Amino acid sequence: MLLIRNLLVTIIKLFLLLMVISFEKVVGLPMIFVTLVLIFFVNDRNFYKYIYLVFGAAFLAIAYGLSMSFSLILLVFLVLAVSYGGNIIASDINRVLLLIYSLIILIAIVSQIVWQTKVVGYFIISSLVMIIILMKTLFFKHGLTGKITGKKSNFFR
Amino acid sequence: MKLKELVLLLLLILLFSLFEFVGWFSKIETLANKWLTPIYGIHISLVQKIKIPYDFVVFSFHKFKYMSQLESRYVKSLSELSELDKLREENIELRKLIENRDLKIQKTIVSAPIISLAYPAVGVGSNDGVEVNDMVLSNGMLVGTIDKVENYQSKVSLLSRHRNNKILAKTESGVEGVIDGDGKNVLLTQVPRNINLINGERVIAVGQEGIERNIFIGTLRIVDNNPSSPTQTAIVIQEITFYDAILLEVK
Repeated sequence: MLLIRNLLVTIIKLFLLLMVISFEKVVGLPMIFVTLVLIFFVNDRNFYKYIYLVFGAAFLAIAYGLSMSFSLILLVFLVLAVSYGGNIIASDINRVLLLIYSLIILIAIVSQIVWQTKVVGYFIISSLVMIIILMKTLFFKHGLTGKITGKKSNFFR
Repeated sequence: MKLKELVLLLLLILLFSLFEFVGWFSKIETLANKWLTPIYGIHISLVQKIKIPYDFVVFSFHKFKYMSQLESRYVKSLSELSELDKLREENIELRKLIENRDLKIQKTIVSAPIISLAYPAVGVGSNDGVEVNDMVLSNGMLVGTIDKVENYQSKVSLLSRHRNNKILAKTESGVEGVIDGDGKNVLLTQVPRNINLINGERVIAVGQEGIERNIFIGTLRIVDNNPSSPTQTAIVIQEITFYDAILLEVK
């Protein structure tokens, strides 16, 4: 029963990822998609977390015309750097944000996205949405940022 | 993260690279793109709906700018009109003076067009004093010239058709070019690329044998040209064509 439930949840999450990447393909950069892949990977404790990474890489490659292995390397680098980068950038928030922004810029360069006004506008909006998602899920729930959990507004300080 | 997980991730990357090297992913990509196309369509329509307020604001701003330009052009036209009225009065007075000397200034023959797509003509000929290369005007706008004259009718060479005897023309701002036709449109051709053409400007004749100076030809509409070409071409819009005219003047 638990196995079926987990499978169902995974399928729903993958569908959500597919919807998000196809929407972001239309509007510009895969900001929320990358955030969601990271959150799903970090939050899940079972074997399914690798499925998000594999399918996430496939979706990213298909939507943005990257090579499959390159997009997998990007996502693996993101999760590894988030996990092991504490020695280089101590603040979890700064580390996650810096890595996500770097990844987005790299994807934009490789897939030759034109920085039109609308793309930049969506980039700003999706940055805000990404921060809200991170606050509500990864940092709040998972406690990656021990220092800010429980405090209300020092994320924007 | 444990070492086992790290090894698993590296193995995944290796597996992906291998599959990509073999070419299995290209088939998946083709298939996935086929499935994703309708989803993209849904998202595009969704984005367009979300963008409606933004588009409305941008559209309104552009319209506001356009209206301001129109207003300034209208004011300019009004001032030109008053100047033209003054000139017209002066012209009438001068004409009266010259006519009093029993001199005939200009012949003007009015006729109905004979409309045939293959053979545009006017119902006046050599018996009425029509000569080859006479101007054919519709409401004071040059639509063509007389190409061939018979006793009772004359063939008209329209500006919109390719012509051997080119007409020199210039815009209000003084940009000169050659009038030619592509079979459908009247074109202002041979304008050097470094000169800026302005949309909506009036095009008038420079003046040459058979064509009076300052005869109105049409208004300019800029078209995208081949950027590698040394010259640029613009369409000249004629509000009344030969085929729309009820009466034509032959001068």
